[in-house]
Amino acid sequence: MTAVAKTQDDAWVPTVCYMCYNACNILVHRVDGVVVKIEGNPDSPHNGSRICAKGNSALMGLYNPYRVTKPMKRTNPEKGIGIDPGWQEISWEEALTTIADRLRAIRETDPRKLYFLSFDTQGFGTLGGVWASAFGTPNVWPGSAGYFCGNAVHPVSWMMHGTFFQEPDFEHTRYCMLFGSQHGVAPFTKNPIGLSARMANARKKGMKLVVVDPYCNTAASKANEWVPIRPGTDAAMALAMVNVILNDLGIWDAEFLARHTNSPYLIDGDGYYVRDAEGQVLIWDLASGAAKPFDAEGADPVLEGTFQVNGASARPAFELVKEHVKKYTPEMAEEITTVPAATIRRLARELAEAACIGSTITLGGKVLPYRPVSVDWSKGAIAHKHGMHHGFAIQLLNTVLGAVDVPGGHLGVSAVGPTWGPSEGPDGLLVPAPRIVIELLPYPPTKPVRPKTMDACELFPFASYSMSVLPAVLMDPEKYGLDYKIEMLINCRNNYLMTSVDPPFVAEALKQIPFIVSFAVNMDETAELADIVLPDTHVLERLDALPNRVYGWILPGEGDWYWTVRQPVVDPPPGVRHWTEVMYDLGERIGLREDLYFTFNTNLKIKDPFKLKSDQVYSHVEIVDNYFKSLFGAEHGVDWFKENFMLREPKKIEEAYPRPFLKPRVPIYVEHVKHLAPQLTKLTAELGFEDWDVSDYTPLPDWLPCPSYEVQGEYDLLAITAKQAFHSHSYTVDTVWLNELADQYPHSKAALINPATAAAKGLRDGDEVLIRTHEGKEVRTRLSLFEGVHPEVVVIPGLHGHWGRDRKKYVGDKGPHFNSLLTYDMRNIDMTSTSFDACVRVKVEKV
Amino acid sequence: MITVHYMGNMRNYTHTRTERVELPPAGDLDLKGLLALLVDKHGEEFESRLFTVGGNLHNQATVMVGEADVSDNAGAMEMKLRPGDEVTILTVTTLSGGSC
Repeated sequence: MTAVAKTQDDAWVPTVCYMCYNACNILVHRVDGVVVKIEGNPDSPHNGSRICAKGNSALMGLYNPYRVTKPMKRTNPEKGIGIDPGWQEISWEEALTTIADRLRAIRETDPRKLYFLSFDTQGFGTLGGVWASAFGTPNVWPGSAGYFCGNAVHPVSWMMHGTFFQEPDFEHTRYCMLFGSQHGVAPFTKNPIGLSARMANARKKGMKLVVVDPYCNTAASKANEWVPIRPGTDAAMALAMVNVILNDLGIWDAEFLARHTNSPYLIDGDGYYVRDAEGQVLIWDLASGAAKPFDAEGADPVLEGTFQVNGASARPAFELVKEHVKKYTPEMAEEITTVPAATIRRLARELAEAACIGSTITLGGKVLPYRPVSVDWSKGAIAHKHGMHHGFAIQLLNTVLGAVDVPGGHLGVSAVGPTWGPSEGPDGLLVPAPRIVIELLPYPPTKPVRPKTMDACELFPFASYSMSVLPAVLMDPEKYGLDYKIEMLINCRNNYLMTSVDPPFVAEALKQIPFIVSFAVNMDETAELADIVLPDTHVLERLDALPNRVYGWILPGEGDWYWTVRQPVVDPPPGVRHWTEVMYDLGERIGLREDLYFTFNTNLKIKDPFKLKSDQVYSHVEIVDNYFKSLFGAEHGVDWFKENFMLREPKKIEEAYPRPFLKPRVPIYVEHVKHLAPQLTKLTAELGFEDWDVSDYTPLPDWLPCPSYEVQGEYDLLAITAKQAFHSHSYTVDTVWLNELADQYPHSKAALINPATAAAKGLRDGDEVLIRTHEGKEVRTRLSLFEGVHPEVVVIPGLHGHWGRDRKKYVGDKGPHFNSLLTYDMRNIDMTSTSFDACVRVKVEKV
Repeated sequence: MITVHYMGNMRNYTHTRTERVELPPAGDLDLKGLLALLVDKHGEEFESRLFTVGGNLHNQATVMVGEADVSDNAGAMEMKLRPGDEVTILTVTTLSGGSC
């Protein structure tokens, strides 16, 4: 009889998923050192017992036999898409010595010549910013490729909520509209698992859900109403709705607008604030019949009318908004959007009436405004040439109805917390709390100056980041006023080549960099351009501090604050190291320790006695331990978090719904951009740009057509992309289970088209087709017919079509790569948000 | 004399790690005054990293007086500086660790 070996190790380890952007809390079942199952963590307020297919399948990536486990160097000096790098395994010592020698030389000459690129956004993944700053380079971007991420979401959110993210208050909202936001489904915006549950509960309680999108995505399929819209026209529909609400229905939240926005600020004939001799912005006070500073005690500001101030006419900003939107009649919007005028009118009325303006709700013993309507948007609406205008136009719906950071409304994520809150900036407008600000702020803006950084962010003072501009500057730094070139790129957890647009162009841009180091769990398309590849840990092997960062990866509204740890469930394979540890190691080798620890202590606000001391060398675990203890007290170090996983604290009602308690106002009229435009014109002219486009720097949003609208004739369809719930970014294709799922899902690895459109072209379901843009880009794929596609549109979901040499060995990903249809050109970039236009004219032909 | 240390990216604008600033004869210099002196010396590109339009401290900038980070302190700009004070200025570019 054969003896059965007794199981020595049988544990469920709490940790945080990282198969996408959302930091779901999971329990990982480990038996005898092997991960056998992954489930949601029922004790988690974030996602509860629910996780998605990506999280379930993470163990497949952990045990992928094709993982990178040894450092490798390139032997083929020729670089390019499809070119064999000629990898040769090398020792860690050789790899780190080679890298350190180059880093040392760069730091001694010009540290700006190092670029640090990463999408490791959670926990100490943000080390990139600290490490690069200590090194002395401004060229760091610990974010995505940044082409059509939150480019025109974040700036609006920073200004309107003081936060990075924004979400509907599904606990209390009764009417939710989503524009281009696959809410509760999209693999990376906010928290799809937790929010899908909240959204489902809200639907059960009677919330009406309306999804405006060219594609009947999963959220739309669960909605009361799907409103198909022509891509890139969301602003026109939103402004028409605002017009109906303000000018036809006469509905607005006067109290909110007068007290919490700059609606009463007087605007002169040139569009600027009217100020007194001291520079204070003026409002018109009804009681005294005179102009007064906006913050005058006891003033009763008016929202409408024309007044004589300083010898000239002036009108409140709100009046200008009302007048501005009049041109957006529902009939005009119908022509632009294809949404029937009657539908626009009906939705506007439904939304405005559902706002229950004047009503209150008592929560936590406080009487608060109750505005149970929320209009949210995301990438689908803003990934266009004039993305910022779409964002502000949609947000206007929330603003005029007073549904901003109040129960039932549109909520910023963590604007106010136990130890932080926004402040009042110039002209009484809101400035986000510094400790949750993670990127450049649109207000108060950074002064435009001659660029020093390789993404030329100095020329985009209204943007949160300008990564989409990086390839253009890499190709010609001098043109942008830069007097240096990048000599080394360190790339981590970021398949930049695949998640950017126009891979051949971006590859050329990356080839301008003489030396590239790429950390990789699996060999990807960007790593194939590297000179040295270093093996990185899988999500289940990592220690990361606080992956549920309060500025983004935590649910807004009522509930708890929660702080978590991502802890290793198993050891990495021999020779595989967390990239963070490797960066510490490199820091030691180049003498960076003192600056690095100082920057750590300062940026992370580490308190005594837990500050890092430069006469000691700390491991990654020790640094995380000090960080935890500094934040939460000596008893809450790494060991406490490993055992207990989560620290929770109930939110106060002032934190859940901060707007009624805040003095700083939010803008309905973005006056400061009028000052930025001439500064940019002058600066860019000095740099030699004759035609720098500042026409989007306007205080009020408009609908403006994408470049693709200029194309006519045989290129009669608009190609767009969409998310898939079981794939994220480019890296889940490494997971065989998910690829099998994609193979069985008719909307995956295909182009979706409306059956009527297909019939008119003589195309059938399953046809092999060539999709070609007017600029000569093309992808070949299978056609899938779906009535939930706008008749003028081709939808290419997901990020397929991987061409990486190693990936082909085990994933065989043959789907279409949407980004390959987009041509890199500055004219396709929103000059305010740097959002890249992701709708392109195509024709579809049977092969 | 006050010693000013520059960390990280700020050195690309000042081209020095450390400099010493003489106190005015009256000995009456606050932090705001010191930063204005430094802006005068190092120019508008330095200023753009330190302050936003409107004069707020830039969200990516940190200013320390001695061991104390005064960046978030209301009224810090009016803080009187004394001979021997050490001021450190640094920026952490884009997405950083934050403290929560």
